[in-house]
Amino acid sequence: MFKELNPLLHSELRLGIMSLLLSVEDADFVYIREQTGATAGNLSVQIDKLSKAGYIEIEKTYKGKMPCTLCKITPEGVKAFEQYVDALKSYIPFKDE
Amino acid sequence: MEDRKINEKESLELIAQMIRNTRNKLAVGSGRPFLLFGYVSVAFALVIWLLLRATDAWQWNLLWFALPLILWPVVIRIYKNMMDKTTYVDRIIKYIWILTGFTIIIVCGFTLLFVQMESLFFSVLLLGMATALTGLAVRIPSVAIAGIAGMVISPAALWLQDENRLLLLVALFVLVFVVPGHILNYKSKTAQ
Repeated sequence: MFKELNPLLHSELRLGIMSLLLSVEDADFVYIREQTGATAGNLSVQIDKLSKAGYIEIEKTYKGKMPCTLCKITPEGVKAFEQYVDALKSYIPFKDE
Repeated sequence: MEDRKINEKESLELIAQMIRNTRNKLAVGSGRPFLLFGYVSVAFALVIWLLLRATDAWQWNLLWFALPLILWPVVIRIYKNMMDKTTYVDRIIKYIWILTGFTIIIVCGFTLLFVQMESLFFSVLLLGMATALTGLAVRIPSVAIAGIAGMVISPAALWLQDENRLLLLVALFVLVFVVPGHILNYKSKTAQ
């Protein structure tokens, strides 16, 4: 039986952002852009969507005199990600099954 | 990457790739705080050694307390500017050094105010331990070995009693700060 995949996470860029943030404590906007190869505009829109869903927290700060946007996954985001991976497993045929 | 739907197999590959990309990658210039502490500490040790030789006044040793006051704000600024991401390993390393710094200040403070202790020995032992733990956390054996070597040599401070023990301190600062600093900088550059 296939489980429903969270549509917010089932997008290449948003899933990339969430996977990245899951493996670090926090990351700045420039780092996420470098790792995902996304354009700044598109990344900004997707980060905003994840933030509105409560999956990530955004902190506006400064690096020296340069503004810096720090992103951090929330416990709600971790839970959603775990549920997504769990649902994903139902689509993958494992050898021992 | 774009805002497009992907299939289940692509999802799993993407998750694995992103986790791989972030794992154990040192930020460029990771050795900078070590080098700053190392070179400034060496300079402090040499200046205090010269002053002690010239005047024989033990009070010059109090200059050591100025070292963390001068360096901590600079190191925090370097650290903040350098880090584009914070990993769990970064957090552990940060707390190792904060705790080590506080412990050294407590040991030196106690020596000054209450009980005579071999603060030089304890300080170098703790600094070596913190460097070794840093090396183990970032999985760079040469950094861990430099820290352990510092710990092994630190008891030599117990036998040297005059101001010349500061020269031993210079050698130990090079071993536990300067050498690991250059190794970390080199590794972080080549890992990119």
